[in-house]
Amino acid sequence: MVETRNISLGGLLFHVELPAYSRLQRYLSDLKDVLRGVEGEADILQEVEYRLAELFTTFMGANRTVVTLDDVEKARGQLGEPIEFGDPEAPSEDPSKGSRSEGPSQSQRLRRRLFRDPDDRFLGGVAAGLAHRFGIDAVIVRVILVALLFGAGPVLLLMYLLLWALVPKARTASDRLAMKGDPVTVDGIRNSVEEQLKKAQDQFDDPEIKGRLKSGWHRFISERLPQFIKAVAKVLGWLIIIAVVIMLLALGGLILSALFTGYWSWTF
Amino acid sequence: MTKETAASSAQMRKGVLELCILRVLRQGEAYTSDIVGALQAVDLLVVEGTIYPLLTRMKNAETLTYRWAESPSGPPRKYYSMTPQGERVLEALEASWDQFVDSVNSLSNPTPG
Repeated sequence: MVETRNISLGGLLFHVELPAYSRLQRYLSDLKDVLRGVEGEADILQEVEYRLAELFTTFMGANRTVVTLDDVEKARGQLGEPIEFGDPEAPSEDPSKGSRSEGPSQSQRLRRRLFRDPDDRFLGGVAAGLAHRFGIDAVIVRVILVALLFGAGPVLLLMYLLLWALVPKARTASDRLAMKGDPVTVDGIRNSVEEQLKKAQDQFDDPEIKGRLKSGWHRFISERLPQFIKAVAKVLGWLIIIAVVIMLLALGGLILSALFTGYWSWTF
Repeated sequence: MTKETAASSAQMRKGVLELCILRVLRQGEAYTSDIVGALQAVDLLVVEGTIYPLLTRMKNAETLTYRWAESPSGPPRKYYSMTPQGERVLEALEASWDQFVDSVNSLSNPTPG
């Protein structure tokens, strides 16, 4: 048994199975992205909708009344991927649209936003958030942070606290998607939610986690202490910003002098 | 065919698509599926997607015009036909196509002397 959605396509009513519906919706929204700013965008979309309606009618024949995922995939194969709709003959406008031809994955990928990642945190999730933002592994960020800690401990500590205080935590599913650069679509959110559910389940089943949940000191370290530090950091926010700017300048000078003299001072 | 030559051929096909659509329509009005079918039958079109932006652009340039017609089954159909302006465009494109073919062929068959 599969749930269906009713959609209107080219002026006709279609019952579409839910998986087919979300596939179709993604296809059309990708298409809209590709066609954004193209001459006659609305006309092209209309033409595609009518064509889809026609294809579905043909595929279903007289015996079926519901559009399945197979139908959608078949129609997609016939119409082509959204990227094929780019009109190469059209006078190329601004160069930023040139990326259209480089493949859908690139144009669909959004600019990543900086969030603290509550799913992959060691302390506050700052390192993981930075890692997501720049598309690298969190371990690398942590190693760099720890390595720098020896050279510029106070600055790093303050910077970390500052980011902790200022960078918003990814609370909603769409935040999480924006953090990882996935487009915010129904499918994406569903995947993200499923991931969360699975994670919650795994955690619950993990005996180590169960033990950890019980231990009070860990609760203190992982929740109370950061909350306290965060509150302090927020109150001292502006002071810290000024201090960090000064110290960053000092650090820059230090690095420069190290570069020029070949001498690295480990004390700050 | 390698990946690169496939891409080049695709570019070539796209380049002559406008001429091909006009040639199809010279024989009389046709609705989108007819045009697509005619082009796919001679391997000039792989997926339909390529043609929609082009049809829209040609319609806006008043090379083509269309009318809606009821369909026995399914949604109403858009029948395209050539405008007088389209006939002039076709003529010009035919000329540049002939010239293009001649130029390309002259490279592989250099005239003796």
